[in-house]
Amino acid sequence: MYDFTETEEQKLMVKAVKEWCERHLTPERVREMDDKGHPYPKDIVEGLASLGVIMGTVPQEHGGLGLDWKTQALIAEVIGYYDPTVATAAGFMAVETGWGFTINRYCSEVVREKYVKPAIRGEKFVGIGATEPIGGSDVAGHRTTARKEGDYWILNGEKTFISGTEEAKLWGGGYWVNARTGPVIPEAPHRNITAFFVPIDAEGVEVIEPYRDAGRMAISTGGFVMKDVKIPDEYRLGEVGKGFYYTMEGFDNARLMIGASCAGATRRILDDAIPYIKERKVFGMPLAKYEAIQFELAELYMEMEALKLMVMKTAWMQDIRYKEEGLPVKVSEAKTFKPTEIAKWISMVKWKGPFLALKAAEKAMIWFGAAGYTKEYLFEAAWRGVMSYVVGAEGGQNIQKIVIGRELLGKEYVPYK
Amino acid sequence: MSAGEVWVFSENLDLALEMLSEGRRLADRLQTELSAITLGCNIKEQVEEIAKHNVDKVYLMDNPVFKSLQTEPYLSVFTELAARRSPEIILIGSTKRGRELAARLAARLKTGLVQDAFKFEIDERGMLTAARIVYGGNGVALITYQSKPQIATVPPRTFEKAKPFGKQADIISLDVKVDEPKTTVVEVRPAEVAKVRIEEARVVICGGRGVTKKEDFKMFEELASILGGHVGATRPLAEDRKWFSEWVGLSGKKVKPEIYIGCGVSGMIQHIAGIRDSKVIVTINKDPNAPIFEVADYIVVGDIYQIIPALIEALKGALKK
Amino acid sequence: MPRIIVCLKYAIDVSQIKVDSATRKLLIADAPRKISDFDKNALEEAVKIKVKHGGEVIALTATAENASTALREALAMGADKAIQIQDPNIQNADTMMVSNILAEAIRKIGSFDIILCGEASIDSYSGQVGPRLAEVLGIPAVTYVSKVTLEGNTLTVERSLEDCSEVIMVKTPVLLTVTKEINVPRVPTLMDIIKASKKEVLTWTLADIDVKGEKIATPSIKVVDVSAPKIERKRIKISGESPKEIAENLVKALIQEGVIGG
Repeated sequence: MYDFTETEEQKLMVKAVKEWCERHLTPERVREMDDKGHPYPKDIVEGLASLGVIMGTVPQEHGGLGLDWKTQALIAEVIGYYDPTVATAAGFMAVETGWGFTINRYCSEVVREKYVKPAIRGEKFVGIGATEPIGGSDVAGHRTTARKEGDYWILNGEKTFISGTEEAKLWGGGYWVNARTGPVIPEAPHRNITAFFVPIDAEGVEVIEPYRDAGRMAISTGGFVMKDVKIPDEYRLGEVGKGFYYTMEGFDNARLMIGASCAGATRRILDDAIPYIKERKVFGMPLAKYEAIQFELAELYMEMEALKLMVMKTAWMQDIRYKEEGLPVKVSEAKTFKPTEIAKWISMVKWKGPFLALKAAEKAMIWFGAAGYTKEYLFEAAWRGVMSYVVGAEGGQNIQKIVIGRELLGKEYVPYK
Repeated sequence: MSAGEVWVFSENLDLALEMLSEGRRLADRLQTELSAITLGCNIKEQVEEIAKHNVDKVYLMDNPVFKSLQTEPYLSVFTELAARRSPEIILIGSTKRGRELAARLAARLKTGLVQDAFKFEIDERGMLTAARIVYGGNGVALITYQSKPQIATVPPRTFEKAKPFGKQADIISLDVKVDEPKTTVVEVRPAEVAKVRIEEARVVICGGRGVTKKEDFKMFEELASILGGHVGATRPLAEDRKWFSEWVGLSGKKVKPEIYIGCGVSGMIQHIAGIRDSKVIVTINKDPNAPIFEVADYIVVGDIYQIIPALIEALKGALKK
Repeated sequence: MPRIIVCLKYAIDVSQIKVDSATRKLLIADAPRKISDFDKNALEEAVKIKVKHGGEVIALTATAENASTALREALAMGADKAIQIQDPNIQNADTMMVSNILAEAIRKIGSFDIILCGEASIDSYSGQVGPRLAEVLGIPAVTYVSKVTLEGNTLTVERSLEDCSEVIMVKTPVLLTVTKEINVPRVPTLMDIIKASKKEVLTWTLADIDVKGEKIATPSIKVVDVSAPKIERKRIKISGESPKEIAENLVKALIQEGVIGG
């Protein structure tokens, strides 16, 4: 069945990441990052990069470490623990590691050298530009277009609520952008979509002012408009018309990181709360002795451990999918698990993680009372940060339930295409 | 069979005098002689001082070879003397030099050593038992010896200084071959007044909401300078009153001094969380119900504006002695 | 190109010790272990010397429990080889026995230029093994070293003492014990950890290093008890007729506590 024993290498890696975070992602630093807001501090990115945690799953021959997803998930958990505002996890585990890995699977050597490898080194930022003004969930319904002209593609469209645009602008970098490259087929609108890598400084790309987010302040949320942006064909990601499938794979990888980092954030919230409730007395008794509080703590703990197990199983499935027969294969050819089976588990951890961390932050604030409502603790920053996942970053929460429903009930029960 | 001597040695005179009082007690208990070992360069005054303090013999070697306090010369004299005299117990002052000397000596004599012992007993067999702190302060270990001589290092201020007593001890000049040092001391620099951070301070004086004016912190500064400590403030004084940019507490600086003195500090839990590792917590507050009294060692219910000046005077008097 | 041997202690992580509240006995057997903090400073210094001068760093430990994961960490930090002398008899070994064992292991390793140790272990903090080991090997030692410079076969070190710091020159072979001021031990990168799995961790028994009976047979001291000190705050009220009297009583109490001189 499943062997959860950590390998010696995993133990040492988790220990090293923890030690690094103890030194550099201190509560004071995290508070400062959240108070100050984006751009994300370059020194932390560079530190994370030299440590090796950014895009660790990218193969060694492409500049990564060739880690398996189980190990990367353990790392993401530590990152979520030390920055419970999830700014670091959002920018560098979900976006850069999840999507960066996927970009690397389908990009040309040119894009790899110019963008992927520098991002792994902490020099540039690569991200996902999926959401459009008409919405995020309906990827197949997006309006960005790309038409071929000789060796180039001309892209037009607008992307909104995109993480890291300020960082990409400042450091250099680019985004995974889907564009319609063929007519809409009503029964199969997901076809004829092609994925591209669009450099943020490409001519015709105009970066939109970042939004004033409620949380995960250290990483920016902005957008960009593309007006006749000329992209060389070597910047296309994968095959023409297959973009939708690659995008689902990208979401899978990013969402696994979200589940993992939210497990870490939840653990952090509990670790910060427990010493207080053991000490703080009301009516002569420590808060922790009151059953109401103990029961809530027990429930949060149970759900956290359940989430961690789901994350481990999901990572294990991802590893099998990518290492089938010892070679990273095309997702559609995976033998052991159908991609849709894995997608179900991915949706489970993506749904569970943010809601659990949100609940943990809320409960902790309530246990503490007015003190928990202050910025003296990280609970409110964690609540605001994790809410970004709840409102739909990397996928709407209800969409996750539809994915699970589809697997349980059958494709014909999906309410809309 | 009578017991061998009890020896006391430290390059630090105060520490030697402190160990002499305990050495006397152990020697009497064993019905044996207490001898002081004085090895150094130009130590005539120290030797005379030690000889007055209720010690039976003083073994002396005053020689330039000891000038830089390197290990090899001391080690060779101790070894030779130990072979001749078979001491029962050797107490060495626990300075960094002393700890190194004691460990090398114990290895050379193939015997046991207890470092930083703070309490001694003689058991039924006439053997020494020593207590020391272990596990980072989490435990006290009781240790017995299985070999002789029984060597221990003793930290400063563990015992009271011996009082001058009795006749002047015999001073015996040693005629022993001394090994040359194997290192060269090129330079000796007096210690810098290092910039210690409050988190590492030995003494922390903290002002809280009971302080009415920022200028009142002057008296805390004076108290701190007498004790060699740092001054801090609680969060309300920093964040609300904006008197300071930093504070002592859970979300601020966490301190672990030997002495923490809270002045007009009520003891909100976030502040307590920042001071709980202090060795001794003293608190002065007008309010008899201040929560900090629950977690303090010494409590003064009083007005800081009266107590602190009185404390400064009392300390000046005590530390002058 | 110096060969540097770093002696590590696989020590109790004192921050994780639990106490049986009824008996006040410390639950040592259950506490996790780690490389003693100051030994990491020693290892870091050894690696820095190697980076500058070339050579080889060998991490060495004497342990009752299997310390291979800790040694793997030492390899990830930059040691070239790691050796553990693992034997259940080491459980009750005192510092005399440990230094004898390490000395025999070092004799089996062969020649060396520098031995580095931490100033003391985090769990025992007695600082004995370093100087004892130097004595057994018949080499000079300098303790509490806060800076090291190597030129040829001469070391120039700074030694921090209570009232001064000394600059000392000494020729190899020599043993140094280092303070935490000397450096900041590196966090190994994940790539360092991956590379470490290709380096050697050797396990030797006492038989392998030919330690003769008398050297490990009888410890020189015996720990008869270890209990938690009473940690309850005293809550002693200091009173007096006047602020002066109160202050004097407080000072007396603090002198008694040993936290102020007097």
